[in-house]
This record gives sequence, structure tokens and C-alpha cells, in this order.
Amino acid sequence: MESEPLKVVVKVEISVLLDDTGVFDHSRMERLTMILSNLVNSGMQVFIVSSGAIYLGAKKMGLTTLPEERVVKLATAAVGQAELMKLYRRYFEGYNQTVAQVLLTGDIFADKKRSRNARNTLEHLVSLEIIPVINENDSVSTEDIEMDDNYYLVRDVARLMKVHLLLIKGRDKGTYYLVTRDEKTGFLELTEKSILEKIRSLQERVSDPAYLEKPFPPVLAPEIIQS
Amino acid sequence: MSYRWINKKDTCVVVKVGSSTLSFSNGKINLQRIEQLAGVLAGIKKQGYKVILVSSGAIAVGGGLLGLKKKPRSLAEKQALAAVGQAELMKIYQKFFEATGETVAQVLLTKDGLQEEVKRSNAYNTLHKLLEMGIIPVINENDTVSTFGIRFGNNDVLAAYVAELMHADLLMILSDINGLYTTDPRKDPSAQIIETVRELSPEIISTAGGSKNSFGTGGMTVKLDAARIAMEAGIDMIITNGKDPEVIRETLAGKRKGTLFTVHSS
Repeated sequence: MESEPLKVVVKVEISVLLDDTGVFDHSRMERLTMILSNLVNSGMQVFIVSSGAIYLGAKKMGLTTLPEERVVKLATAAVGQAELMKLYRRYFEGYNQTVAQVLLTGDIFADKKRSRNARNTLEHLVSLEIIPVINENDSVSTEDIEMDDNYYLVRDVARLMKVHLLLIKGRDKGTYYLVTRDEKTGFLELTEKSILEKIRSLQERVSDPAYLEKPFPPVLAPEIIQS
Repeated sequence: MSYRWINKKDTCVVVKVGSSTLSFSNGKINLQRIEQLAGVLAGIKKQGYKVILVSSGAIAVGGGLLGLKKKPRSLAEKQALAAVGQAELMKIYQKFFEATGETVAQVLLTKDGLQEEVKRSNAYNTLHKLLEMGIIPVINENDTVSTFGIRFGNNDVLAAYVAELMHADLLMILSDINGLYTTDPRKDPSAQIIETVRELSPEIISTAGGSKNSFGTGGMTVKLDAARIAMEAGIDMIITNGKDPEVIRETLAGKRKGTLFTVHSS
């Protein structure tokens, strides 16, 4: 019997896609999209939560430093979000994956009707084997934008979609961190080579309904991820 | 002990990979597996081996690309999917081989192309030239035009004919089984891999007959058909598990896994 597909939220912070000199590194994007495409091919449902709108917008607009003033930040994010999606689409296309942009704000998760709506949309996308690329809808967001590296967004999406696993792209090339709801194995470092086998080996355990009732450990909190 | 292809860098190796090695159980392509395969083949080519890849997977890739949930049944449907999938399969090979600095060439063959004398020498010349140019040929059956009578029917036999045509030294068949077992390993836990087969005796043939299905297209019986072709041409053949493509490099270094079919003494 086929088991339910594993749902995985993948957190991509823009800094993990930059090279040592701070320039967007296309080879890192290429690797990331290949590995995630393979997870989708293997039958998993992947949700990407990705930052990068302000960084890419600033590059696009020729700014030499990241903007500080709020309205400039929002405008820059509007430019950069389109750039971000262009990059995801281009690289995923190379592996025949379709991406969809989903922009959310924090208040959606607090509202029953709106969160159900968001859940239905995301559920439908992954059922069609489309990869949602989720980001904060900065332009209309009233919260502090891109201050928390999407920490709350990842947490909220994971809760909304009842995902089995979190995967965080690490800063070093080819590294990923796997987070389970089971605190004991909370933060597991994986390589490109081990990622698929490791996740598949967890299939049975994380498919247990009791497992899905547990919250994820707060390993994604900004102060922890820095270390 | 040493067979002529062990650490002998100017020998010719034909590697055959089946759909079970290239794709997940849902039929979708396993990109990382193909990347590893490309890396290993590029590596042995850089050592000096002449490398020919015989690859299945076109129908599986075509089905995945079109989002088909069920396996195609009719011949026409399979051929249509193969036409879609073959282009995609080559795109993937190109991408991963390019990253290793190697160039690949697609060569699609039909049975008559290897049997009629003129066509046969034509195929030989092309493949020979490609190898001479340092290019890795990626061969598949030309499914789209293959009908009854000109079909190899499975790539194990195609690979054996290619090995024979090119006077290869070794044919490696990567599959989802570890080798030829004494009895069916799914039913008998005491089943053991037969390390070396020197003659396709009736016992060997009946051993293989017990394990069909799930082993790719034709199961073990067609692999023995391939072994017969190879052995008659004096070519060694190995059946081994392709889940880790490193097995190719290890085999050529003399650390063999799986079953070797050979008419040569070591």
C-alpha cells in the first residue's frame, strides 16, 4: 500500500545562495533545485520558504547597500520578489519542475477562513506536484520585514500544512539540516548524498499520527540558527 | 587473479543501466543516481577506459514528464512515451556529463541495424569514431520505430550485441538485483550469489528461470540471453546492483560484486 506522501518545508535563506564575496551564486541555486527536484521525484511534497526579495531587488536597482528606510525596503522587495521567482523558475525548469509563488502575511494564519483558503491552495499545488515558493508578502505586510529570516513564516506554514519535516539549507555548500518534530533527533546535518536516504528512512516514524501532533522544536529561532 | 579489464585502462567497457536503476518506484527519474553514474563513468573514462553506456529509461521519463499515473500498455503508447522521454533523458545525461567535462552522443539502434552487414559496419564505424573522439555514446533501442521483428525487446540483449559489435572487454549490467542467486532470494533466505559462471549449464538456466518479474523488463532469463551472446563473443559480463554506481569503479579495480559470466580463466 502506498503511504501518504511526506510533506517537507524547506527553508532557504538568501545568504545560503551567496558566495563568499556576497554575490548570488548560480551554482548553489543549481544544486539546491536539483536536490529538491529529486525529493519531489521521489514522491515527497516540498514547500519552499525563501527569502531574498530585498537582496535581489537591491541588486536589480543598483543599490550598493541594503535599504533601511521602510518604504524603500518595501519597494525593493516588490522588485526583488519577481527576481527571486525568476531564478527559482529558471533553475527548476531545468529539472521539469513547476513552481508557484505564494505570498503570505502573518495575519492569514490567525484567521480561520483565510488560513483554510491558504491551506487549500497549497494542498492543491503540491497534489499537482507543483513546488510552492512561499515568502512574506512584504509590500503589504505591516510587520517588520525580513527581520526574522522567515522564522515565523516557516513555523506557521509547517503548522498549517501539518508537514512531517523541516529542512534548512545550510550555509556551507551541499549541507542541509533536518528538523523533526521528535526533539531527540532535532537537528541533523545532512549532505546531498545522504539527504534522500535519511528522509526516506524516517518515513514510517514520522507518518505516525501521534508524531504529527507534536510541535517542532524551536531550532529555527533566529538566535539559535546564528550559531 | 586478474581479468583483462581489471586496471587495464585501454579496454572497452559497456555499461547497461535499467529503468529500475534510473528511476524511483513511482517511475520518476532519480536525478542524483544519474549524476553519480555520470560521475563514475566520466572518472573511468579519464583513467583511459573506453566507455559505452546503454541506457533504458525513455518510457519511464516520458511517463513522468507527461504526468501519467499508470504504466503504458499498448506498443503505440510506449513508443510515443519513448519519443518524449528519450529527448528528456538525453537532456539529463548531457547536463550531468557536461558538469564532468565529458561529451555524450545519442545513438539509437534497431536490431536490423546490428544484423545486416552494411548497417552493422556503419554502426561500428560511428561508435568507433565517437570513442576515438573521446565521446561517450549513450545507446538505446530506437523504440519509436521498433516493431516486431526488428526489436531487441530489451536492453540487456541490445547491450550484449553492442559489446559484441565493439569487441568490448567487459559488459556490466546494472540492475536492481545483486547478481544471479542459487535460489530465489525473496523466497529462500539461504540463497547465495553465484560469483562466477563459466558455462550456461541447464542448472544455471533453471536457476534463473525461477526469478522473473520485478527485475526490470525481462528478469534473469533475458540477462542470461545477454550472457550467452557475450560469452560466445568471448566477452566477460557482470550482473550487479546499480543502486550505488561506484560499483563500476570498484569492479574495474578488481573488487567485484555480483555475478561474473566468463569463458576466460582468470
